[in-house]
Amino acid sequence: MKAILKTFALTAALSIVSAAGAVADGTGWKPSGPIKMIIAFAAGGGADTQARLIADDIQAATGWEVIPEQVTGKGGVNALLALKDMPADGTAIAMVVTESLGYNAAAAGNAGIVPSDFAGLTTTAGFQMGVVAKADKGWSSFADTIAAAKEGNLRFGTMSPKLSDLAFLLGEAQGVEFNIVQVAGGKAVMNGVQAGDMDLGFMAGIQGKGVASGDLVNLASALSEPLVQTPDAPTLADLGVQFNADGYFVFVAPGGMDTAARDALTAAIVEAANNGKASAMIEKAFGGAVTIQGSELDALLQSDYEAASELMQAVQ
Amino acid sequence: MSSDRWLALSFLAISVLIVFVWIPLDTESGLIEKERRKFVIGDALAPTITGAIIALGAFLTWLRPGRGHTISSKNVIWILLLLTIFIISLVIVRYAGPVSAMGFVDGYRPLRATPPWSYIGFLLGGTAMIGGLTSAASRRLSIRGFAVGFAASLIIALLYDLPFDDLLLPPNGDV
Amino acid sequence: MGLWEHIVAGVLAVLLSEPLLGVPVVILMVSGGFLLGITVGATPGLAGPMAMAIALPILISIFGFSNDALLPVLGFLIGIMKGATVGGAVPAILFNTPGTPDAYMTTLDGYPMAQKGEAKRALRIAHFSSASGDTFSDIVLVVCAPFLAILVERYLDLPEKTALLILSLAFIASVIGGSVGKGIISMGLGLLAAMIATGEDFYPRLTMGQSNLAEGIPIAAAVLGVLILGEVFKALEDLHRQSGSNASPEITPGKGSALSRADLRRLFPYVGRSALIGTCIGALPGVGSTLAATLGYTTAKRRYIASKPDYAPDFGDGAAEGIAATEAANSSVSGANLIPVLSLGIPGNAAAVFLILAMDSIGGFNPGPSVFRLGGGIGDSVMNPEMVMVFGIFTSMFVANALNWTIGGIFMRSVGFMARIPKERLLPIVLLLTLTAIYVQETSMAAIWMTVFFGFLGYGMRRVGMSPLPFVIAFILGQNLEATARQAFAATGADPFFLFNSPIALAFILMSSGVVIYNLRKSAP
Repeated sequence: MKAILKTFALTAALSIVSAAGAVADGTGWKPSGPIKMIIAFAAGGGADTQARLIADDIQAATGWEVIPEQVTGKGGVNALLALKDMPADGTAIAMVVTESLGYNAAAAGNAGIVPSDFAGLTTTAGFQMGVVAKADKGWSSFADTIAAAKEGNLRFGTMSPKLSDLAFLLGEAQGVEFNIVQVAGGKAVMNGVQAGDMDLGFMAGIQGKGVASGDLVNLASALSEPLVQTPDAPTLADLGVQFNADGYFVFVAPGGMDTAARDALTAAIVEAANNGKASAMIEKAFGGAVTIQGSELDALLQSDYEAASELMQAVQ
Repeated sequence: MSSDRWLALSFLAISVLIVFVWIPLDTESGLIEKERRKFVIGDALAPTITGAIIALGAFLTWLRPGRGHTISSKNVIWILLLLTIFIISLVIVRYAGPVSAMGFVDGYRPLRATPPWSYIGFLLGGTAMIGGLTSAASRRLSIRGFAVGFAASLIIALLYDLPFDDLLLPPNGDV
Repeated sequence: MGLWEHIVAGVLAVLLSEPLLGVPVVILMVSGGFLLGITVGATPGLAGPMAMAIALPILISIFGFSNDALLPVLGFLIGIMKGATVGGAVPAILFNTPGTPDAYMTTLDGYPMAQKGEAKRALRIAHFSSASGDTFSDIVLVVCAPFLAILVERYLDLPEKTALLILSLAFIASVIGGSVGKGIISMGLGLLAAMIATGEDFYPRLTMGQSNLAEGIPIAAAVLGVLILGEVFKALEDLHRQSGSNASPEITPGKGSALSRADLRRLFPYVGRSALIGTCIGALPGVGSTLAATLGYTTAKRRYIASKPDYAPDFGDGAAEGIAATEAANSSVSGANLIPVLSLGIPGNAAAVFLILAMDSIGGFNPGPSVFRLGGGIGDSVMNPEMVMVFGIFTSMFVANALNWTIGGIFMRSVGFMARIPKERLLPIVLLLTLTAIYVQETSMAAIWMTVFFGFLGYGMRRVGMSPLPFVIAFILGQNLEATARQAFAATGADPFFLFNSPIALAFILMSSGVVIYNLRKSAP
C-alpha cells in the first residue's frame, strides 16, 4: 500500500513538474541554443532599454538564454539585413520599428528587404508622434505656426526620410515651405528644438514630460488618431495630409519559421511586454503595451510597405 | 628625392583614386541632389571633400618635407611576419571549435555557449597569437611564451565568461 | 530646478550610489581605477588610454547600458586617467625610463636625484606637484565648462557649429606632431574612415559591396587598432631589433624625509606656473600632456637659471624644481581636457577619446551644450538628468583627487616593480585582451580583422612620422561634422555659402586657415 501511495505521489509530483515546464515554454518548443536578439536602436535610449528588459524578462520566465546585440543604422535596414540570413529556428530575432519594414525597406530597394522575407512576431508599443514646438514660440494652435511660417521659412526637425516627406506634404497642404532638417533620432530633434536650431519638429513620445510641464506644445498629431496627451490637436488628416506616421516597435524573425517556434517566441515577448519588468517601462515611456500579432501583424507590415511607394510618389 | 616627398606623391595618387574612382563607383547620390523640390547635400559630397583634404595634406607635405622617416624593407618583413601570426592564430580561433565538434549531428552552433566547447578556439588561437608574438619579438621560438600565452588566454577567457552570461568569446558570435 | 539642486543631486549620485562591499559603488570604482592607473602608468609600454580602452568593454558588461552605469564606468576611467599621470613618474625616477610619454622630462632630474640617494624625496616631489596640478585643473574645469557651454548654446547656430568643428579639426591636425601636411593627411584618413557606410542614402556608401562594412567601421576597431595595436606592433618591432636591453640600473626608494614647509614654498611658484601652462594647453583640443610637460619644464628652466643659488643643482643634475615643473604640467592637462569634451563634445586627446567612447556606448549622456541646460529645457520643475550626471562626474574627479592626496603617494612608491615586467611578454597579452574586448562588443570576427588592419595603419603612420591622433579625433568627429553641415545647409534653405554668411562662422573659418598657415610657416625648413 505504502509503495503504491509512494508511486502515486511521485507520479503526481512528476506531472506537476512537467506541466509547469510546459507552461514555462509555451507550446513546449525550446530553442536549440542561445537566442540572439538584434536591437536596431542606439544603446541607452528608450527603445534599447525596452529591448533589453524584454530580453531579461524572457530569460527569467522561460530559462532560454537571450543575448542582445546592437545592429544600428539606416533606419533598421541594417538590422533586418543582419537578421535575414540567420537560421529561422528561433535562435535569432530582431527588434525594429514598423517603419523599418515599411518605408525604409521600400526606399532601400537595392538592399532586397521585403516583409515576406520575415516572420512578424508581435508589436510591443506604439508611438505618440506629435508635431512639437517650444511653448515660448507663443503658438497656441497650428494656425499660429502657419502664420509664422508665412513670415519666413521655419525649420522643421525630423528623424527619418518618411517623416521628412510628411513634413514636406504638411507644408504643401498649408501653402508654406519648411526648411526640413533631418537628424538622427528623436532625442536630436528634441535637442534641436530646445537649442533653437529648429522651430518645430516630430517627436515620438519624448515630448511627454515637457508638454505636461507646459514648456512644449503638441501642435498636431502625426497619427491617424488624436494624441492621448493633447486630444484637441488636429491630426495630419485634419490638416490636409492623407498620410500618417502611425508606427510601432516590432519583433521579427527570419521568414519561413516553424509555427511552434514563432508562437512560443511571440507568447514570451507578449508576456514580457504586458507583465514583465519591461511592461512598467513601456507604460511609462510609450503609454502602454500594444501587441499586434499573427495575421493581423503580417497584414499591417505588408500594407505599410505598399503605402510607402505612394508617399514617395507624392513628394516627387 | 626625400622620403617625405614620396609619401606626399603616394597620398596624392590615393586621393585622386578616392575622388575619381572609388566615390563615383560606390555612392548612390551625387554631390548635390534635388529632394522634395529642394537642394540637399548628397552622399558623395563629404567623401569628395575628404579626398581633397588628403590631397591638400599631401601638397603641404611636398612643400615642407621633414627628414628621415620611411618604411624600410625590414619594416615590410616585420609586417608580413605579424600578418602570418595573425592569420594562423585567427584561423585557429575561428575553426578549431567547429572542427572538434564535427562528430555531433548539429555541429558546433548549439554548443557555442557551452564550455568546454566554447573555449577551444579562443584558447588555442590565443596561445598561438601570444606565443607567436613573444617569439617574434625575442627572435627565438619561446616555449615559455606559448605557456604564458595559454595561461593568459585562459585567464582572459574566464574573466569574460564566468561573470557575464551575455558575452560570447571569439568566435562564438559568428558560428 | 536651480543650479544648486543639480549640484547637490550630482554629489549625492556619487556619495549615495548603491554600496558595493560597503562603499558607494562610484567611489569604489574611482578608487579601483585610480590604483590601476598608477600601476599602469608605472609600467613602461602601457599607458592610461590603453588601460581605459581595455577596461571599457569589461565595465559595460558589468554595469550594462542603463543610466546608472554611467557614473561608475566614467568614474573608473577618470581614475585610470588621473592615476596614470602620477604613476608615469615612478619608473622615470627609479629606472630612468618614463612610464608614460609625458614623464620623459621627469627622468632628466628624477633619475639624477635618485642616483644621489634621494629617490624617495624625488617621488614625493613628483606626487605633490602632480596632485596640485591635477586639482587646480579640475577647479578650472568646473568653473569654465558650464560658461563655455552656455556661450555656445546662446550664440552658435548650426552653421557656426559646423565652422567650430572645422576649426577644432584644423587646429588638431596642424598642431600635433612635427608636420602640418602629415597631420592633415592623418585627419583626412580619419574622416574617410568615418564616411564608410554612413550618410543618408539607404545604400551604404564606400563599402565596396562588403556586408561586413554595412554598419560602418566599429569605433572601437578603428580607435583601438590605430592607437593600441599600432603602438604594440611598433614596440614589439623595436624589441625585435634591440639586441639585449640597456636599461639603467634600478634604484630602490630607500629612506627619505617628508617635504618641509620651506621645500614647498620653494617649489610652489614652479608648480603654480606649470599648472597654469598645463591647464591652458589641456583646454585646447589636440595639444597633449607631452607638450605641456615640455613647455612647463623649459619655462621653469629659464626661470631657474635666473634665480638659482650657487649651491643648488642645475636642471638635468637633479633639481627638484625640474620634477615639480614637469609633473605639475602634465597632470594639469587631465582636468582641463574635459572642458571641450563636456561643453562641445570634442575630444582633445586619447584619454578624452575613451571617455567620449564610454558615453557613446552606454548612451543617455550626450556631451555638448545641452548637458548644461537648466531643467533640461523640459521645465523648471524638472531636473536635467545630464546636468546631474556632469556634477556627478565632477564629484568623481574630486574623489580621485582626494585619493591622490591621501593614499596616492604611498601607493605610488610601492609600484616600482612593474617596470621589471618584460615588454615582450606583456604586450602580446595586452593585444589579445584588446582584441577580445572588441569581440565581446561587436561579436564578429570581421571586427577583429578590421582592428588588425587599423593596427597596421597605425604602425605605418608611426613609422613615417605621422601622428595617429588626428586620425582618431577626425574619425570620432567625422559623422557629427557631416551631419551638422547637412543640417546647416538644409536649415538655411540650401544656402551654399552658409559657412561664410555669419560673422562668427566666418571668423572660425578664417581662424582655421590661419592656424594651418601659421604652423606651416613655423615648420619652415
